[in-house]
Amino acid sequence: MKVYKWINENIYGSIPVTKTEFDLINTKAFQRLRNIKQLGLAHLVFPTADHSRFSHSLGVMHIIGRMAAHLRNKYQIFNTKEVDKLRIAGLLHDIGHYPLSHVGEKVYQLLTKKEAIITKKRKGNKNEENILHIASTELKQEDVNHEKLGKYVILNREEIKKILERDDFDPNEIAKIINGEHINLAYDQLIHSGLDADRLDYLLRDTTQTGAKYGLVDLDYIIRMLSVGRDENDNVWIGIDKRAIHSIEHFLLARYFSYSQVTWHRTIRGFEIMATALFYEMAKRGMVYDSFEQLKRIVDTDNWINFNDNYFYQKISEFSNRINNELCNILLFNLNNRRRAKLIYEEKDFRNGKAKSHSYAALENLIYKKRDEILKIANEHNIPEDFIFNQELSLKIDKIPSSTLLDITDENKKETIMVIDKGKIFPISSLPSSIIHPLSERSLYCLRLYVVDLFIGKTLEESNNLFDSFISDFKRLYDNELKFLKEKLP
Amino acid sequence: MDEKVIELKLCLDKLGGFRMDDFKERIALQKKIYLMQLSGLDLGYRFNWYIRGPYSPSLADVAFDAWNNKDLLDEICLEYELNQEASEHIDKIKDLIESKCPLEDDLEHYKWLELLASVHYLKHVAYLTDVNKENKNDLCQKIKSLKPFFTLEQIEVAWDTLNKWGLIKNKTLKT
Repeated sequence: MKVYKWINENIYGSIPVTKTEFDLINTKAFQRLRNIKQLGLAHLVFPTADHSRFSHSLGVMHIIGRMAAHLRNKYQIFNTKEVDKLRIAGLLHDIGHYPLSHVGEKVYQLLTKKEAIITKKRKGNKNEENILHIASTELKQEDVNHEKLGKYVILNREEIKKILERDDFDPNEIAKIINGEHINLAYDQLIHSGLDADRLDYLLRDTTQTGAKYGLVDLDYIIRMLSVGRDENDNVWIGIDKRAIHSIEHFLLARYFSYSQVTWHRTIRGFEIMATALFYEMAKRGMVYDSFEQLKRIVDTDNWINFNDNYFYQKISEFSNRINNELCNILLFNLNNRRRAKLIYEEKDFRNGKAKSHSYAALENLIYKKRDEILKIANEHNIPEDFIFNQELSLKIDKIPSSTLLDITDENKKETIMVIDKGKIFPISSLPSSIIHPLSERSLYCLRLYVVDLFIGKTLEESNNLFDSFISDFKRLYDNELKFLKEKLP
Repeated sequence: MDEKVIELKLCLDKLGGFRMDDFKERIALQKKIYLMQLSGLDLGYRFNWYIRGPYSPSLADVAFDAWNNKDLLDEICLEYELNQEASEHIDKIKDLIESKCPLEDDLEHYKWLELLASVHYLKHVAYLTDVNKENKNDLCQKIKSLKPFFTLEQIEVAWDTLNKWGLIKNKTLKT
């Protein structure tokens, strides 16, 4: 690459950029990323987690460039033009990100979700119209995810398209690489795999910025030990040299801890659900862009540049003047005053498949089958039903259990990291000598029940005291369920 | 239990059942949902190109979670049903998903699904520059190079089958 400028930053020291990259960085669309925090609302818990999609995108470009250059120099699987192409894909991979990152993305997924395709045979569950319930729903509405919006930006924003075409890059190809729709599987592995540049950068960056030191992986060693193998059909697989297997075990565990301790943090998750609910409610009332189609229409205008975190904060400030809904009112107050949602109960289960612990199953039964009993207690404590919400998360150390990878042609091996030994490929979780082998059979499940802090005008201590009696009544209900399960299924 | 899990289970039930015991069933699951979404019933999954054809990591996540919670899911699903419009969409494409390779030495069903989904993906979604996607011969040759374990004849039959369904000219059934 022909270095045009150097950019100093806090993770890698300095990052070289080419003229094409420099011009792309200077577009308004890329500068917009300065105003989108990488971790959404995590700064409410980790005060220094205020890094942006801008710095992360530079980091991904830098790492993917180093990975690709190593693979070009040592294994000749890329040429120099391809390395440049991959760097640009890394640089632009988040160009379509939403205000508050995944919070905003979730809102447009909710808005895009077509009419329900399933219906409940017996009506009457008010919970399904509750905006907090809606906001905590996990969706896979990938047609509006940030990569898809990014594709739209790359193909329709003139300032970006012009630079790419001027320097002989096909905007469509860059967009397809970012979206995993390129048929070159080696490209895909550097940008969408268990060991991709995106994950490596956010682990290191989030660790540095939050101060939670789980993600300090050995980047230089990992890149140096990247290797190439081929399967029975001569497909190229990028993986890690067997000698460096422990660095990958460390990487996978670091990612696991970083997710469980930062991304999944109970308070951050609570704030994110509250913000999602408010954003969604504003969209339903037409106070913010209310559809993906509308966003596509503003992509090549200055309105797009303002579609960032500040957009959300400005809109909720306007919303607070017009509001006439008790729940929204309280959510706004709580978000503005950092009054977190209170955790009524949480259960975690690190389990193998279907073998749930009694303690997890008891909470699951109450939430999914006996919700009315929870709501009855809430009513007794004057807590409105729609102030209670739940969240379920699951996290795997390696995405796919080793037992599913016995057949090397299994396509789920895409999700795992390959270990290369003398040109042969092995999924890391399939190696009995690796710590990942037994751990990959298990997932961490987490089930949480929250209640919105609804005591405006009371001090935090007063509010806590009021909830304590509710929570102790809930605990009695939970203990009864647990006892019942233990007797039924010892 | 999120709706996405219930939706997936009910759609798969209508397409013959939810099974993930071995790699053939997991491949079939991915390709069934890919093809089903062509009916216009969009569960929201988007697919990357992979050795065995279109593959969605998100779908794999949801399916594994559903499989691990199958007992609870079976119980909860008793309370739900696919709405009429969704059922009609699935009915529109069910015959394609249940079809067999018309050649005498027919392929195992999961391989046939893989081939149908792959031809469609390479025709309509994937980035290919060195091939005229409109030309059957060119594209089939390209697929042969990407998937050497299929014969050219099998690939051409898959193209012809999709063509009969209008899925060569159009990306989805609804257009």
